[in-house]
Amino acid sequence: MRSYLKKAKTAELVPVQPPAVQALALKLVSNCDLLRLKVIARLHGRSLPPDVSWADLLQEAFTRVLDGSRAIPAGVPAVAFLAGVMRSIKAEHWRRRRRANEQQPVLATEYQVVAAETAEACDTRPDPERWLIAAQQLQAIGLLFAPDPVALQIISGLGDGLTAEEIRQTLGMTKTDYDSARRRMRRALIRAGLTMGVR
Amino acid sequence: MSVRPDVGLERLIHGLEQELLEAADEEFTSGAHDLGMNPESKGSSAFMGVKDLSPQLLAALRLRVKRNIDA
Repeated sequence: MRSYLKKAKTAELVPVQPPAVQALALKLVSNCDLLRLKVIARLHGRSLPPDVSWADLLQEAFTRVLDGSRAIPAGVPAVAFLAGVMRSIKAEHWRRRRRANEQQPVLATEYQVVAAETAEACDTRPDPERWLIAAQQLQAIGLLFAPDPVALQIISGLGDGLTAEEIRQTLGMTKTDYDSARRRMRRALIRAGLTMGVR
Repeated sequence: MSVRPDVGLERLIHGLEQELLEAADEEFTSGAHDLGMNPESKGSSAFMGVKDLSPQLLAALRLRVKRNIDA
């Protein structure tokens, strides 16, 4: 009798394990490292293009380490290295998107007229989509720390590129107060990073 | 914040990432426990998106396996 069932392709029958699980099996990372990397990936996910998820970013970083295209240098902790790989993958995505946008000269020119009035003179031409996502995410991060005015001030300082010491001096905080604010911020970030849905 | 949003967000993310890299392991496990998750169990929801595959990622990995088989 002729079968109408579609014959499964070989690739569909091969069990596929997420790269993060493979790295765990190889003892490259621990379960706790995975939690930490999830929260970091979620954080980076805030400035990703909408078609890329934080989970894709995380798994891609693991893939690059596992397939040898990014080797962990001796003495560098795996988690810190993977965080760096995520950062560079994210930059790649935006570069690719920018190149694609440059093929739309009319839209780019229209945007430049608007951008010239609002952007800092010394900055390079911003990507309108990235600008919008960033503005929304800055607002979302602000809401995350809304009950904590000290954390909001620290966030503002970090966004301005200040170091911890500079922020502490600007705000006139003792080291103890600053460290306790940082602990509260970490707790809020960890909760947000472990709570939300996949996107 | 006195800079463009995209520049400010990247700086902020970098600063917060450093905080997360410096945090103790216990902060993550206790954070999960506070949310009612048990990261010690194999199928904990704390690992959602980490130990499972999104449909897009599954398709990409299958494509990679297929290429390896065909090669």
